[in-house]
Amino acid sequence: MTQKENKNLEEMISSLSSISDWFQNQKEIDIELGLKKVKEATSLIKEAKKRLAEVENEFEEIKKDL
Amino acid sequence: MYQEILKNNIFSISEYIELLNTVLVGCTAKVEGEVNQIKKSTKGHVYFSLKDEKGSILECVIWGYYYKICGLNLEEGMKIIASGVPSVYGPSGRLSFKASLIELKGEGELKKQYDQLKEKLEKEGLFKRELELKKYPKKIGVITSKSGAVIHDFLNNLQKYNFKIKFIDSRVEGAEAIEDLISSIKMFRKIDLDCLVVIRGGGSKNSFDVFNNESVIREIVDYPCPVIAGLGHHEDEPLFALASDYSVSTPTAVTKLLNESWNELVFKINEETQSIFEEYNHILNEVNKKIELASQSFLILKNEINSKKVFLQNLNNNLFTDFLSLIKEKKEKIMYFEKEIKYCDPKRPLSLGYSILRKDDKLIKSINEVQKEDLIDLEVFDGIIKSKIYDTKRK
Repeated sequence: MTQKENKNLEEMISSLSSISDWFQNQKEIDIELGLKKVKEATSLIKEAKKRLAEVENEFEEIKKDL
Repeated sequence: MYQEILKNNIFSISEYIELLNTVLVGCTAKVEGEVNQIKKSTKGHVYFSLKDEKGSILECVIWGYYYKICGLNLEEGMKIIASGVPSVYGPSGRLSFKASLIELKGEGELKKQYDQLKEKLEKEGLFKRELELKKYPKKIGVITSKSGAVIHDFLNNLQKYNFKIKFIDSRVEGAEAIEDLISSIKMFRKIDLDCLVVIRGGGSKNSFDVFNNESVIREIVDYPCPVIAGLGHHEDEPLFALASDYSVSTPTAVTKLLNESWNELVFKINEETQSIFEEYNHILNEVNKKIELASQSFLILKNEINSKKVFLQNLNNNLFTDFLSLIKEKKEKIMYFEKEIKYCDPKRPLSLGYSILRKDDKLIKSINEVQKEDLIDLEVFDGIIKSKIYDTKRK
């Protein structure tokens, strides 16, 4: 968790991209590992969405100031 | 009436002469003749006789006061016209003509007298008056006859500069004018003036004689303000004009002289006014130019500011648009990953009815990994089914 919190949006997307690549490159998916990756990805997606929402809000605030 | 008195009374000589003189007062006349036997008394009275071509003689006397006024220097042989009354002098019983005025008769005499007087006055320095007419004269004393057109011409030609004209009516022609002129000049001495003007219109040559009269001329010798003569003349300029500070040929020319400094002032004022207006217009134009220039500068500056505003606004808009695009892009990416992960989730098939088999927590991928009677776990969408292998069948 600590690792996720420290990641920024770009790093999270990059991690998601790596997970996606991982799934694409598996001829035979190790279910256990796949599940682990899914969990990690789900968590990353959730965090990325949250972070993106925060960025959007901040952006709206900045727009108001202008 | 006299005849009755004379006929019915006997008079003493004195009474009779007195009566006679009373009657003779009415016999005022002008007589002409040649001057003889001149005697001048210490008091200035002049005794002389007048003789005509027929040899008739008239004893004459002119009292010093009148003689002086006439301004003549009687000489034997002169032809004159004497104005006066006859009178009998009691102590001598002689008839004499008491002249109050003497005029020269004949061109030659007049010219001679003119030249002599001119030379005399010149020697005395009487023609050197040069009092300068002050600028913008206002108080003007005028001597001329009220009956002529001269005074009207003079007043009409004076421009409207609020001149204060003081006028004394005086005869300006003939020997009778001498006394008028002298008394008028004397009277003006008592009045504060900027200048004294003596004018008359044109006339015959002899009509100017009064202005060659020594007594009249001497009245202006030490006159306290400038004297302007506007007399006109034929050949010889009247001596009065020569003795004046200014001499011009006509009364109209006198008005020109009086108007001159005022006209110059008006001209100068107009010129200055024009100059002030021109200068003011110039300044106004310069100021307008500067304002115009400043307005243009402000306009340029305003346009520049507006341009920068638009630039910044555009920049802002672009920034927002770009950033929104970026967010959208990120969102889409995340959504893409979300879908992909959902698709790749190994548990996804469970919801479709597939199950995962495990034996001792290990995945069963082949029929070779199990035997009959083995206990296995079947993981389905919503739980685990504990099972026992009943049989196996190879495909």
